[in-house]
Amino acid sequence: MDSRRWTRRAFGQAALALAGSSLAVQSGLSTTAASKRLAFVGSAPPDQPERGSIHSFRVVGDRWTALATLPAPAPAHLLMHPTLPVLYAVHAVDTWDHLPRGAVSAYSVDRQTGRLGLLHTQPLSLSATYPCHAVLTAGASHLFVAAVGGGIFNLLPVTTGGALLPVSAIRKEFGSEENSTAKLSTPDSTALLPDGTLLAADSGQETLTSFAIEQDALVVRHRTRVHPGEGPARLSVSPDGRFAYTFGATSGAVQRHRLVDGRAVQTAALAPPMVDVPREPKAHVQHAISLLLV
Amino acid sequence: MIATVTRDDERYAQLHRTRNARFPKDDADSVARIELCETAEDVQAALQRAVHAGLRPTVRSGGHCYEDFAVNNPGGVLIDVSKLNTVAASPGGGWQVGAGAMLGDMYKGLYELGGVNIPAGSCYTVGAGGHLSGGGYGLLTRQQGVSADLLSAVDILTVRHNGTVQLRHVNRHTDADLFRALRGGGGANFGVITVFYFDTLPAAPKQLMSGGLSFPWDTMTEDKFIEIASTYGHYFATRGCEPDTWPLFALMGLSHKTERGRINVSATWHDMDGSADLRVPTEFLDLFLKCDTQVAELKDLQTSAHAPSGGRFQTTPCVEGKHRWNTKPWLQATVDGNSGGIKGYGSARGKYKSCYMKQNFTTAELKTMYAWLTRDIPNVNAGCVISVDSYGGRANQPHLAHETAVPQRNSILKLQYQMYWTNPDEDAARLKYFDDMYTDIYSANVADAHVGTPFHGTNYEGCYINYPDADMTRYKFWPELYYGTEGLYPFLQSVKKKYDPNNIFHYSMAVRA
Repeated sequence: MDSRRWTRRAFGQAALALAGSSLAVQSGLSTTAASKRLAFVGSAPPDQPERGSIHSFRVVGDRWTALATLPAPAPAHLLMHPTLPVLYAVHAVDTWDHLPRGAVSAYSVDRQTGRLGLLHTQPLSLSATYPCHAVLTAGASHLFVAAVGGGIFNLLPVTTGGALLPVSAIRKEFGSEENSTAKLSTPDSTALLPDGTLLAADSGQETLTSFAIEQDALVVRHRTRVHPGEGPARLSVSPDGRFAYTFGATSGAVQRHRLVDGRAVQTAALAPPMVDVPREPKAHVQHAISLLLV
Repeated sequence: MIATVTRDDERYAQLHRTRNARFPKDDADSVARIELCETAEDVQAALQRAVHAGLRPTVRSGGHCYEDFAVNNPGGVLIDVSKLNTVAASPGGGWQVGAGAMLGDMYKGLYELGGVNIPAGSCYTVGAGGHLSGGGYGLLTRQQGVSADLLSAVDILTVRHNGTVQLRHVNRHTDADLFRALRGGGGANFGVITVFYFDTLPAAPKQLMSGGLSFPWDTMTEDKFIEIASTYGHYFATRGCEPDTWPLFALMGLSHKTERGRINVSATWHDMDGSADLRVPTEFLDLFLKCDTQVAELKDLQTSAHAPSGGRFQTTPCVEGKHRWNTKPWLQATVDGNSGGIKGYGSARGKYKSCYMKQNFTTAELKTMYAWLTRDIPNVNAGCVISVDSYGGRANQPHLAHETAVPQRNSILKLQYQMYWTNPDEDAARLKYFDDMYTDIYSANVADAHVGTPFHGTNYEGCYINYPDADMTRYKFWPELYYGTEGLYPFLQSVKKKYDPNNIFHYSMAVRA
C-alpha cells in the first residue's frame, strides 16, 4: 500500500489492481502507464445489461483514443491471457441461451488496431448466474470464475491457444446463518497466489477460501472467516503472495491477512480508509462496469 | 444404508441413465455418483454430504422425467429415492406413499390396504415423487380430481442458508406456503420429498371397461380427420362436462400417418358401483360411427387392442352391442402388464410437449395438425402421436387453483405430444420437426405476444409441468405457460427463496428465484 489516502472505492480499485484485474487502473495507471497501451472498457446499461459492449482505446500518456466497440452482454470483468493476444470477458447475466446461467467469452485482440474478434463463448453451469470475476490459473491452464448470483465457482479448461473449453468443475457454495441473520454465498472476487492456489472472497459466507485443482475438481484447502458480520467484498493479494487484503462489504474496513499455504493465519485491521476521490478515466464511457489496461 | 455407485462401479453405466435415452447427453454431463438410499435418514445423509462437498444434488424417483432434470448434472450427485417405496396406512390415520413408490405399486398397495385410490397416471413404473409433486393426473382425474388435490402432508428435506439439511413435515398448518408449492409445483424444486400423506382417499372403482374405435390412415382425408377430432372435442366441451360422464376417460391418438397406421379413439369406463352400466361410454363411442362410411359394416374399425402402446391400457376386445368392450376388475386392469416398461433405464429416445385445451379444436388448428401428421420427415420414419386425453370434471374446481400449485382448472382436454425413436443420429431432424409442428399448431389461436405456444386465453390453458418441454424456455414467459398468469409463479419464487435460498435444487426448468 502506498501513501495515498484511500476511499473505499479507491481501495477496491487498488485491491483489484494487485490481483491483476481491471477497475483498479481507472485513475492510477492513466498517469503512470507506459506511453502507448491498449485499454478495454466494459459497459452495460443498468436496465439492459445484455446490451453491453467492450470498448477499445489507445492510451498514450493521459490521452485515450477510442478505437472500436464490440457488443458484449454485461462484461463485468475483463482479463488478458498472460502470453497470448486473447481477452476474456465475464458476462454478468442471469440467463444464457434461455437457461439460468452466465457465460464467459474469449476474444482475439489485434494489438495494432485494438479491434476485438469474438472467438467463442462458453456458458457456465446451471445456477452460475451473474458471474462477476475470474482469474486464470497457473500457466493459464484454466479459467476460475466466481458467480455471485448462484454462489458457484466454475472451472473452465483453457487450451494452449487460449480457447475456453466447457466447464469441467463446479463448486456450489452455501451461505451463512448467525443469530437472526442469514446470508447467501456471494463469491465476488478471486485471486491467484504465486504457488498456484486459488483464493476467493465471499461476502455472504464471510469467508476467505483457498482452492486447489485436484483431478479436475475444485477442492477446498482452507476456509477462514473474515470480516464477521459483514464479510469481505473485495480481495487482493500482494505480489509475493504473503498477504491478502480485503475490505468489509458494508463498512469498507480494511484487513490484511497473512497467508501460509493459502490459509489466512493472521488477520490485522489496517488504518481506516481516508478520502481522496480518484480521477476519472480520460475517456468517457456510459455505464462502464469494467476496465482493463494492457 | 446408502449404496454409492461411482464411475468405476460396473453398475454406473446403467444407473447413471434415465428412462429417456437422450439423457445424459454425453459423459461430461453425467453425475459423479449415484446415492441409492433406502430410508429418509439415508437421503438426509446423502444430501448433506453433497451440499457440504459443494456438489449439486439432483433427485430421481422413477426415472421417467421427460427432460434432463435429474441425470444432467455434471460431476454432481444423483440421489435415488426409488427404494423409499413404502405404501402404508399412516399411524395417525389415512395413508402414506413413499416418494420412490411406483404408481402401479401405489395402486396395488392402497387397494389392498383400504380399497382406495389416488387419481394418478397410467404408467406402472412412473415414480410417485415426481408425478405427485408435479400435480399428477390420470384416468380417474375427471372423477376424483388431480393427485395433488388429495394431498394432506409431505415429508421433505430442505437445505438452510448455512447448508444444513432440515427435515420438515409440511401441511396446511405447518409451512403452509411450502405445502401448497409441493402440490403441483414440479419435482425437486424445493428439496427432496420422502413421503406423501393422504388423510382421505376416494374408493377405487369396481371394474374397468375399455372399448374403442380406430380409423385407418389409408383412407383418411383431411375432412374425416377434422370430423373425428371435432367430434371428440365437442363431446368434452358439452356432454362431457356433466357429472354422470366423469367416470369416463377417453384417449384419442392422433398418430403420424404411416402405412396401416390408424387414428384411435378409446373409451375407458370406470364402473364405480358395480352396475356395469355402459350407456355413457357407448353414447360417446356412438358419436364416431358417423365419421366413417364403412362404420355400419364395421369393416375398418378396430378396437383399442390396436391402439398405440406407450403406457395406456391394452385390452383384449370382447363384443357387446356395436362396440366391443373389455371388462376387468379395476385393480387387475390397472396394474396388469406393468405398462411403462422397466423402471428408469430405457433405450428409447423421447421428446414431449403438452397443452391444456379449454375449448374444442378449431378447424384451422386441425388443418394444421393434419398437415403435419401427413408430412414426411426426411430420412426418418415418423414416430409421433398427439395423445388427446379427456380432462375436466373434478379437476376443474376453481378454488383448488389457490390451494394447490395446479392452476389449470378450466380445461376439457389435455394433450401430450410424444415422439419416440432409437437412433441418436435422428435427434436433430426429429426434434426440429416436432418443435416446428408444435409451434405451427399454436400460432393460430393465441395473441401475437405468445405465438407458438398454447398460452392461457380463450382456447388454451398452458402446459403441464409433468410434461416439461425445455424448448419452451426460449420464451421469457415460459413460467406462465406452466403456472398460469394469476400470480402462482411469483408465489413459487417466494417459496423457493425461503426454503431453498441457496438454489441447491436447480435444473433448466426449475423455479428460478
